[in-house]
Amino acid sequence: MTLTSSDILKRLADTIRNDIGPAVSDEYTRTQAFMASVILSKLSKQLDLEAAHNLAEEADVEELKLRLQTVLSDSPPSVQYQLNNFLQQSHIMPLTSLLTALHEWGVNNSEASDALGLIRPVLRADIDRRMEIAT
Amino acid sequence: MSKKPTAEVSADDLEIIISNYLAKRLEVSGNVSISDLTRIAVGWSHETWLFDADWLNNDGEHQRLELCLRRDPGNALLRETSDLEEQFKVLKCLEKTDVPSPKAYWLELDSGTLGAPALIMEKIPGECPSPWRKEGRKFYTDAAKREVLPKSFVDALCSIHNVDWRSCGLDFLGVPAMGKDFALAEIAKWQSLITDSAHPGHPILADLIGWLISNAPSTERLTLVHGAYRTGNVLIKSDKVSAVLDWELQVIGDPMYDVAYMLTELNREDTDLLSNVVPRDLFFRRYEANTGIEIDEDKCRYFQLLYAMRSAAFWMSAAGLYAQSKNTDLRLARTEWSITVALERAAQELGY
Repeated sequence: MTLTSSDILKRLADTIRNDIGPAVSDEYTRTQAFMASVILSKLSKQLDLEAAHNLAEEADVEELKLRLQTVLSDSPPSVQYQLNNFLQQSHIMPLTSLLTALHEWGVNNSEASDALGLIRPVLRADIDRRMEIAT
Repeated sequence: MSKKPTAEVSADDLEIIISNYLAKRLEVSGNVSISDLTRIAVGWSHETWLFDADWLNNDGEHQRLELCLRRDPGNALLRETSDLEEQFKVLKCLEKTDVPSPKAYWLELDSGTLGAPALIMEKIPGECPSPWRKEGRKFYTDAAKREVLPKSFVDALCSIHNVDWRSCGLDFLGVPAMGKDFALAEIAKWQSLITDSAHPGHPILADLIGWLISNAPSTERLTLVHGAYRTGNVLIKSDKVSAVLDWELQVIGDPMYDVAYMLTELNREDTDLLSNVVPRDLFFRRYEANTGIEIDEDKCRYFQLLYAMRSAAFWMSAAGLYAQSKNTDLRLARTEWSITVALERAAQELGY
């Protein structure tokens, strides 16, 4: 039987939490051991979920690209530039610059507001996925 | 408590360094005895050590000072936004006011003197139960029932907002213009911390910052603002606030910035009591009566979103310190996931 990387990290986390940490008498070092355990647990979860999360993100991004192109067809050059940049990517990070450009354009503008309405559910889904690991 | 040596100096060595330093400062010909030197294992921005100093004055009379040493190890969280010199000056200014705060004795910016830039201040009696721990929350729940601490906690905040900051010299902190300057300056401050962290960020943060800039409220009354007024940042003795601590984020600004921090759900757990100790009605009534300032809940909601940005900036800065190998404390590495929690909160506050 072969353990996955995720399983190994999980076991390391458990050992540090249950066996190593409690044997440390200095408070600072014991806290460090506990933190190491927490971090390894999260990395284990991250490894476990990475493939599924990436697929979900790519699917969300592809759908968003199509819809944003329609909504932002008459947007100013600063927004167009960031939209084009986003269209060439398969993940959500380029939305950072696009969102900045949209806010600068002004979200009272109906196109910018519509674009935000499309982007925010994608960000919600992304942060929900990240929360599976963070909490 | 931990006696873990700092990166630069062990506890034993520090004891000798402090003893020699105080002998010089106090102009004592004999020895200054240092006892109970203990590093407090809280706070991420500076090292904090408590100790007692005993000596004989030149008339042979026994003297004692109970002291607190804060040292800047040079690689701690928030050191870009809060230096010891500013803390020292603030504490000096507060000595002339009703704000319960420790007396500041000495500031040493030269690392050669106390092993790192440091400030020595009065150790005020009191306890500081952590509101993030079960036993701490029980302490505050019980204190709320006795009804003394809630009033004292509100009064201490009122004393901060009632400070005549110009006359006591706190205008050195910088005075924003009336209008949107205060909110925009805070956004810029935390944006700068985010940039310095070299963290890639997240689109939610860009959305949040865009919203904050577009909706910045106008500030029409300026007060001293503590910036992190909550249980856990005050010392308590006999159910009263004996000292307000953590003078690291203070600004001259909108008092609603502190009020928002009181009202936020982030600073309480499993209770409706503000900051785990103050009934909401009591807070509104007593705060408005003692300061003459009407609480603007809309503005507080805005500042709660600004706190979401600030939290994200803190955690990015912390994670950045670890990522850039400037600090090996694993608590900093763990904050990578705290960023996610802060951003999730921001998304909720923005309505998604």
